[in-house]
Parts: sequence; structure tokens; C-alpha cells
Amino acid sequence: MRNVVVTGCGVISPSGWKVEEFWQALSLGRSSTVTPGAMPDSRLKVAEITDNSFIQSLPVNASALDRSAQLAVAAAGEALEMAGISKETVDPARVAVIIGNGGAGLITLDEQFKRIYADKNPRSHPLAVAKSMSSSTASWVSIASGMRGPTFVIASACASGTHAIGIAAELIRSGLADVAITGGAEAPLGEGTIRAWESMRILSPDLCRPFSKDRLGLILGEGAGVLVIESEDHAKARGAKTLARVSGFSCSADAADMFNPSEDGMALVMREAIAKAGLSPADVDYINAHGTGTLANDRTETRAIKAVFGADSAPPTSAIKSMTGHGLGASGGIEAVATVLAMSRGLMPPTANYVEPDPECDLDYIPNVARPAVLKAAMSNSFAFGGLNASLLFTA
Amino acid sequence: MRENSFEVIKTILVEKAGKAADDITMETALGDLGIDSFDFIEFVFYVEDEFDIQIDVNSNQSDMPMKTVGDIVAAVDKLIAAKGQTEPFGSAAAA
Repeated sequence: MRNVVVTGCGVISPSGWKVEEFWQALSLGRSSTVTPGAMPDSRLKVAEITDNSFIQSLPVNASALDRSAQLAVAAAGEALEMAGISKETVDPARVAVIIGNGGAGLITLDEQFKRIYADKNPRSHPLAVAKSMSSSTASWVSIASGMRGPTFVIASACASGTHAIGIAAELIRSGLADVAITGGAEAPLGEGTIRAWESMRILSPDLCRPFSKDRLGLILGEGAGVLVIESEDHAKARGAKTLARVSGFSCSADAADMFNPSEDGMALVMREAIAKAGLSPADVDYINAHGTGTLANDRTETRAIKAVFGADSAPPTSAIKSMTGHGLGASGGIEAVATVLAMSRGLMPPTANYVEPDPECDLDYIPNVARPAVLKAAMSNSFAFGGLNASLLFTA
Repeated sequence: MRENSFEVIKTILVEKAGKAADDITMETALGDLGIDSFDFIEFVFYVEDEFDIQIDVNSNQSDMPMKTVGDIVAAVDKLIAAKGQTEPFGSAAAA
């Protein structure tokens, strides 16, 4: 089996456009304050695309892409640039594109349904199908980059980005590809989707405060987080700088409840990701938690971490959804980027908006202030509706 | 307590949640009916639609903010009173 390394990353999130702005926000523990004027309330966070240069380089107008694909293409462009990879410098047929999204095309569908049902306009936009099919995010990254290897999306709700990176790494290990452009992308903030989330009554009325006793739920977000990963031999042969290794991955299903998370399911994937890396729990220096800020996730994830690492020996754990909002299918990609940056830059991002300890959430959550650390192994967790669990372990 | 509200809520529990009418009294705990936290959110959705009210529930505040059928009836009656209505409306109420 081949070793897999990370050589590039790109991100668009409510916390910032591109890696430097994103990392600055996370380093400062800054919660996004960008709110959309047209949205029905202020509890939402929206990533602003302030630089469309990569999208403008597409062979077609950006309006041919759903916003989820625009975000994916932009983040992939940054990751490829950092990795120093283009279709001219590698064999495009050996580059996979594996993108996670919970439901790409949601804004396109929202717009088309409004035309038909509300505006009583019987004609749909001719690109509605191509814009709303969930695989369009991966297709557009392929078209934009010219890469022609295995290309598809992975849908596992809020774990999609983490599943995508883990499966892409397995494709490289097994020899199906040498390189993969992989992560998550999501643009869910059409009014129909927002109302659907509201009706679950798990949105916070103000801030997302993961693991804090007074937490009142999640904040919806959007964005994309993309890694370029490749076999270690491939990276060495072209003299690429390695940011981290993708050393362990595990995924599982609870086969139990659609909404309530399972401590055992969470613990299982964390244990297996560590074991696949040939490490023990004591070797893990940092956990980038799923940490949504809901009552159920945060206490269950805390119990699972304690079960794996020991009640008094869990590594520092933080939830950047406190700053980025919940990017749903994008979140695993965005958080993988944050975890890789934490390792390569020696700084653990904090859990922002943390106010008060919860007796049921009693780990070190790096409250509000980032903390310098040498990280040899760091974990990124995603636990989705539907009982889908995924955990990635990166090593130095 | 308004008996009407109770009957409407009971009908919702029977028709939408598949519960047995004989099991439902004002004192019945929602947990004893097998209603978990997410069933509860769906149940509240139907109650709000039926009475045209909004019940302030954030499912992150506790597992089950209202414990019994009577708690729901009380919340509904309070909201209806606040709207200035004397009777709930909706097809189930007329039955």
C-alpha cells in the first residue's frame, strides 16, 4: 500500500476567502460576522466570493455553475496552485476528483421551483439539470482543472467532505490514481433549504457555541475545502513540499437512528483511524471535532472521545464550526484544511464563543484563544445525520 | 385546560404519530408514548399547523422541553389566548 501525502489546500468559507485569510480568522478565534442582506434572518453565515479569477478562467460563464460548484472550483484552484500541479505537469488521467456534498444544486432547485410554483412561469432554466445534479461539483472541478481520472461525488450529509478525502486516499493507496483533488463543497443557503433547517429547531438564534453549556445549536454556513493529495512517491518525484500525511481513515454507519448520534459509532471510527495509522490514542496531539453546537452532538462526541482516549487523557479538541458555521457537506473538507494548517503552522485553532463549561462536556476545548503546539498527529471528525461516521488521521 | 385543545392534540397523536387513543391522557408523559426528541419536533410542527401558532422550542435547550400531553395543551392554550382567540380552529377541533 502506498503512503499518501497532502501537498496543497484551498478553502472558501465564511471565515475567509483562501487559506491566508481563513487561517488568520481561525488564529484570532474570530467568528464570522458576514450576514446576507437578502436572507430572512441574521442567524446565517455566507461565504463571500471576493475573487472570481479562477471561475472567470472557466470555458463557460460562471452562471452555468450552481454556487456549490463555483465554491468547489475556486477552492480546488487554490489547492492546485499551492501543490504546483496542473494538467501540463502531471498525467491528467492519473488525477482523481472526489468531492463531497450533501446536496449540490440546492440553490438552483430553489430558484427553479420558485419560477414554476410561485411565479407560475412554466419554463425552467435550460441549465437547471446540469446545475443541480449532485455530481456537478466534481465534474466542474474536472473541467476547470483538465483532470481526467476517477471523478465522482460522495454524499454522506455532514460527513461528505471527510468521506471524500478518506476514499480518495484509498484510491491512491490502491493504485487507481496517483493524485486526487478532494474535499467538500456546499451552498445550501436558498430560502427553501434554510426553512427546512429552521423547522428542525436546531439553529442557534445568535452564535454557535460548541461544547459550551449555554449552546443553542448550529449556524448554517457554506463554502468549500479542498486538498490535493498524492502518493508519497509521486510527490517526491516532482519535488513537492509535503504539508501532512493522510495516515488513517475509517468510516461506519450506526444502522440505528436517523438523527441521534451514537457514542459507539463515533468511537469506532476514531479507534480505527488511529489503528490504521499504526498509532495508539496517546499519539494523537489534537482533535478537530465535529462540534456542531447542538445538545446531542457535543455531549455524545465528548463521551466518545473519552472512551477512546481516556477520561483524563484526551488531547486538546476544538470546533471551528464556532467560526465558520456548519458547511454541511463542505465542513469535512474545510475542517481537513484547518487540521492540515494546524499541523503545518503549529497552532491549534480555538473553539470560539465558548462561555461556560458543561458538566457533560468536560474536555479541553481550546476555549476562545488559539494555542501553539507541535502536532505530530491530528484527527478530523465528521458525524452526519443518518448515523454516518468518518474520521481522518493526519500525521506530520 | 380547554378540552378542545386536548382533543385536537390527541387526534394529532393518533393520526400523525400512530399512538393509541386509549393511552393518551393529560397526565401521559410523551416519553411513555415513545416520543423521542425528534418525534417531538415533528409533533410540535403538526400542532403549530393545526392551531396556527408558533411554539418557542429550541431542541438544544433540553431533551424534551415539555414532558406531558398536558404541558403541550397548556402551551397551546396560552398561545391561543395570546392571539385573542377563544377556540382553536382546524378540522380536527370540529370533530
